[in-house]
Amino acid sequence: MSDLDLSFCLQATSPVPLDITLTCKAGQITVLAGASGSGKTTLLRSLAGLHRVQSGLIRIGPFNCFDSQQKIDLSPQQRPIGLVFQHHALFPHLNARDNVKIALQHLPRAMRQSKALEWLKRVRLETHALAHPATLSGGERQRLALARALAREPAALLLDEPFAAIDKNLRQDLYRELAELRDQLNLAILWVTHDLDEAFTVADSLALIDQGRLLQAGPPQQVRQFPADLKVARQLGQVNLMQGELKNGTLYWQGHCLGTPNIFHQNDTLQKSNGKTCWSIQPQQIRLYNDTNTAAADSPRLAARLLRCVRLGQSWHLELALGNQQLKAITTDFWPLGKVWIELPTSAIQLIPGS
Amino acid sequence: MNGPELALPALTLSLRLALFTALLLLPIGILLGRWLAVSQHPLRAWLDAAVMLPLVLPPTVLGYYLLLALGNQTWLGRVYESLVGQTLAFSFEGLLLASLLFNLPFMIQPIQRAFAAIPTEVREAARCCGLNRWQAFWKIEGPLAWPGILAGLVLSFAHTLGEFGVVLMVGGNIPNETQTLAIVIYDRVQALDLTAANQLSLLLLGSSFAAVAGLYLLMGKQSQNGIGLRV
Repeated sequence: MSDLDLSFCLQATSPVPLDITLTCKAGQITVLAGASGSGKTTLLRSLAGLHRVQSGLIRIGPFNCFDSQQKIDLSPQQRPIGLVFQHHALFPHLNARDNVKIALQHLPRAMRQSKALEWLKRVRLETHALAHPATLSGGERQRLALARALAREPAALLLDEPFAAIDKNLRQDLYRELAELRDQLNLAILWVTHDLDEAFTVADSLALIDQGRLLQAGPPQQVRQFPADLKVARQLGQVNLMQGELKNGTLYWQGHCLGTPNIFHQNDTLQKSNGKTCWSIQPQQIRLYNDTNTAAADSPRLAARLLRCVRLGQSWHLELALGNQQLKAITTDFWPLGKVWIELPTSAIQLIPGS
Repeated sequence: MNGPELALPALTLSLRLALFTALLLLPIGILLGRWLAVSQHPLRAWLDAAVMLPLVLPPTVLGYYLLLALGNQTWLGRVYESLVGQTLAFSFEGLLLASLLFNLPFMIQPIQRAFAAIPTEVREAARCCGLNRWQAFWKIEGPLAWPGILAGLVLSFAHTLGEFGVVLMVGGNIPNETQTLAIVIYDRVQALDLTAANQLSLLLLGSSFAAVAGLYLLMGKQSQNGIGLRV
């Protein structure tokens, strides 16, 4: 653990049950993603000291903000943590400069004005110093909220769905600006979002949360490729979650052999266990054929029935039945309803190990 | 006697009563109004109802109970009489106490609404900015609730100027002591002195309208600045 990592282990029972342990490294953006009501905001509020938790530990480097065993519970103003609220929570009666200035109570009065302007310059708001929040655009308000949270020079920065109300193009700019600040200030940033696209765009490290519990944490690509269990796979938006059977590393489904999934090639140490398992395949990866010819195919063709074929935008969304199972597929061409042959490429099959 | 002759002592008394009522109620209104706005305490709903009571109760009922409470049959009345040498009922001090109670909702309601209109996130942001509770109150909550505080002051002042029922019950009709402008008007009408009643009524109408109009003008100005004022 480096000097300024934010690490915590928290337990609470209300308003949502919380039982979570995580370390956010300094100089990295850790994204905490989860559905509404999964406990993300409660966790951030607990870290900032705005919500009381029953037990646990919150530590920034060697500095304890909260330790239930040692009865340490610092107030929000004592914690070296900055929080950017979901709806900015700017002070409407103060102009942009004074909004930042108010977070500079730790400095001598004479220095506050110049320091506030310095922070405004850093977020490119120096020309709006005398503007009130009501006259600023969404992006400007967000940058002002960021400047105010950073003005106290916190060791950790918490962001609660910071760009939820901002349009996509502007959001991309703000991502880059925040990444620059992360590198300049060596901050541990914990970013909460329900938007998985955003999570995969900005995360150095991704943590998935559900009902107050951590489902999986790690580098985003690793989480995407190797979801720890069925819940993670569902949260990642995976469809076509099927139950199959492993025999010595080979996957069988509906009596068909689907080959040896990639996970066993990529990870030699993984036990080629036997027994029931879940697997999934992206709808775009399923190939459709008119006949059963398998000469050129790398996987067997399976007979299926096409139940629905609906055009959505530029692609066709298909519903297929195979035995008592249903699969979803996406193709660029129209397919008539009735009998088709499908191929499930082994390379596209994703095994969900913990299921 | 004509209107202006009667008006001066009664108007002075009414203004004195209104000013004392508004100023004494201000700290109570801020403390209680803020508490009612943010507290989750189980007693809050009961206190809310108690504060609203003078709005729905006939002034004569409130005045009657106050008369009983302030008289020398109760410990309050006896203690006051032994300390000051006169009874609390039918005195300016008794009138002031009644006026404080009767004006509670007029002071507290706008203040409570102003504090309740401050989003929880803004209160929390103040704490996350390193402000302690007092600093957060002076720099953030107070200025944001200021229009509501001003509304409470103006409403309780204007309402005291025109109050009749409770004043008559608790204060009686003693010139220079408890005879307010509203009581004089009632007196003049009883005596069929309609000229004086007209002049005094016009005075009260004008001053009340000026107070409330001033408040609404200020409300318009404040809402242009993005700060809501609710009364």
